Amino acid sequence: MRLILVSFLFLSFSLSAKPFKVGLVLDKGGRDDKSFNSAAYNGANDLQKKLGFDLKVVESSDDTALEPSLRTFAQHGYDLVIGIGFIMKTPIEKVAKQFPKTHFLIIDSLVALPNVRSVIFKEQEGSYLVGAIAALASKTKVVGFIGGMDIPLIRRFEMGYKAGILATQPKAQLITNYVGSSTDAWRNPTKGKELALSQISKKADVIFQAAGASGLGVFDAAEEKKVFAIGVDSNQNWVKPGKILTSMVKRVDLAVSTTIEESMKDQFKAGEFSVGLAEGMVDYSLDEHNRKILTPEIEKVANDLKKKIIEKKIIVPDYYETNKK
Amino acid sequence: MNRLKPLLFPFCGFMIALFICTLILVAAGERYSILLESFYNTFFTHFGLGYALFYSTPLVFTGLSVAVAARCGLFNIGAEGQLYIASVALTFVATHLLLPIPLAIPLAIFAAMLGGGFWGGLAGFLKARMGSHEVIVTILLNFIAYSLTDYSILYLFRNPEVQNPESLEIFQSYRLPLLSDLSALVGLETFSTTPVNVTLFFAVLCAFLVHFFLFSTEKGFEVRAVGFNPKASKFNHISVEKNTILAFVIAGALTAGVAVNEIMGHQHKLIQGFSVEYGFTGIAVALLARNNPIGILFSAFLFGSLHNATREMEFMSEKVTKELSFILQALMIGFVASERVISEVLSRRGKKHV
Repeated sequence: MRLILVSFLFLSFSLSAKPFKVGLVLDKGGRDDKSFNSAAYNGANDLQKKLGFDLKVVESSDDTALEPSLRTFAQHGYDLVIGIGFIMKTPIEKVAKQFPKTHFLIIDSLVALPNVRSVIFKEQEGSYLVGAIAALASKTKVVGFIGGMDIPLIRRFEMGYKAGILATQPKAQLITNYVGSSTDAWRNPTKGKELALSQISKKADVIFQAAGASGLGVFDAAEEKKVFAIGVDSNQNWVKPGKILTSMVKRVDLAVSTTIEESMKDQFKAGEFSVGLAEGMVDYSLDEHNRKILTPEIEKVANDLKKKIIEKKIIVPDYYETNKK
Repeated sequence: MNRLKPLLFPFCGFMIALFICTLILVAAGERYSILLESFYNTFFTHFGLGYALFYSTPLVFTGLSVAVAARCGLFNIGAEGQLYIASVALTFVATHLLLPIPLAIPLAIFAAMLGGGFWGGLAGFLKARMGSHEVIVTILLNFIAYSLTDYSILYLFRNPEVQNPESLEIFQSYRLPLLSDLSALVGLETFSTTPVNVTLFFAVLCAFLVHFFLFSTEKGFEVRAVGFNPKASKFNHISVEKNTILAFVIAGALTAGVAVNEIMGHQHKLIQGFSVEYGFTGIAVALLARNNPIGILFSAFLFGSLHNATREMEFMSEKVTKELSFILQALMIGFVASERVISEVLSRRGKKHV
């Protein structure tokens, strides 16, 4: 009898102490793209070491695996399910409707449901800053942009970047290329490198890449031809120290970790969150790896511009807005 | 007993594979029951079984597609391209023509069959008239099909609201009911939240139809005759050319089922790269079933449930990575397919005792 009682007690204890479970679904880039997905993975992983919840990360090998992955998490009773990337929009819409008690977080896309938090970054603001930096650091006054997949999201980077270039060097020339039009464009470093080499042959000496894992090819080209590259999403300055002028940082890690923390404390807030320079969620990066190449003069200009954007004295053109009309 | 034999040996192979895979998993530091748990989830939960059946459905169609061509002595590596062209044709109809349900569904299926059949027939024509080898032709046609699909999605019926390249949603009247919806009508809750839909029934029907065609009709006999011996067929006034084209048209038309399952049954739109190499897995499905249409139903289900089981395993374990799960999947299929070796060993042993 006592045994039954004890085991019952134990059972009820183990039930009440059910750990908080977080499921993270990454897109094709995978956790080691050193960029967008890495940022999300590190944000969740670092917080997990601190707070000790159950974290399960799944990479999708193909686009059809996203929906079953999200659904399996919800089905297995995960409290918070995180989808990284615009490609999760439709799957999350479907799954979140079916599991209204589960919390969802999506990055880079808007899903208007009462249990989904959508975080959208003002990429154009950060891109504006690195555009200004690129134009100032360029000797040839020819700068390049290499996007991953040709979609509005990446056009948004390009538009901000261009505005930043023209703000500091009105005569500078911008060369733009995109890796492709399918999701494979995020993981094709070979083509990324080819495009970068062709831009360099057209005299570009600073190249900003927003191309996921394909961007690593751009870095290779920059190292080979001794020009500068600009990183994206994560702080990528360390990937090729001294070759990466700066990185347009998108704090996906913060978006992920704050959402997990709030959800754990039962303070989960659904809805659309549009965050930018003012919130410290996008920025350019400066650390020991690029300190020597990013001169104090450039830094001063960049910080001035940053202040003006935060004070709304400069309004950076937004691809989403300009294309609505 | 003799009738059960063809099923018995693959089953033994499956059990041996299960044992060896468990050894590998334990060596990797995983608990010994994990494989059984994932199979339990696959076969005995609505969620798992629903997904396993959903993954099996397209494989039945591509398996049949490969099998019909193979019966005619042709190797169809082009099922992947054919199913994409079928999807484009289907999506084009289903996003442009607003029709009532009784017209819409047959028309869309017909359009898909026409698209797939045309793409298959192209390979058949080139083989029959120009003598180009069908393997090379179908592989190359695949690449053309991918690009045509990309072009259609981006320029013919793109949904401008979404960042991902995908088509507009198809009209309501083209949508097929999910099995969970159907069972809800009679008050049952089966396969809820899974995308398995009525296309599954079409798949089973198609397998029987193809079986009937191949083994009980004159045309089917001719197709097989060409596969057995083209020269002898020629002497008996069976046209090799016509049957080559016919086999490829049927093979292509069968892949339409994949488009129907995915677009009319599940996503309700054409998404770039939706096929998880169904066309290529179809080759393995057909080989395992030795091109027997009814056997394809079982082998497709094996592949579908393996796909789901390995996916489940990734969720249950920290140590099973994608790569390891591919290895396990390959081992399972290898052992099931090695029935000949196993049956030979068994029969030899039997002889020794006598």
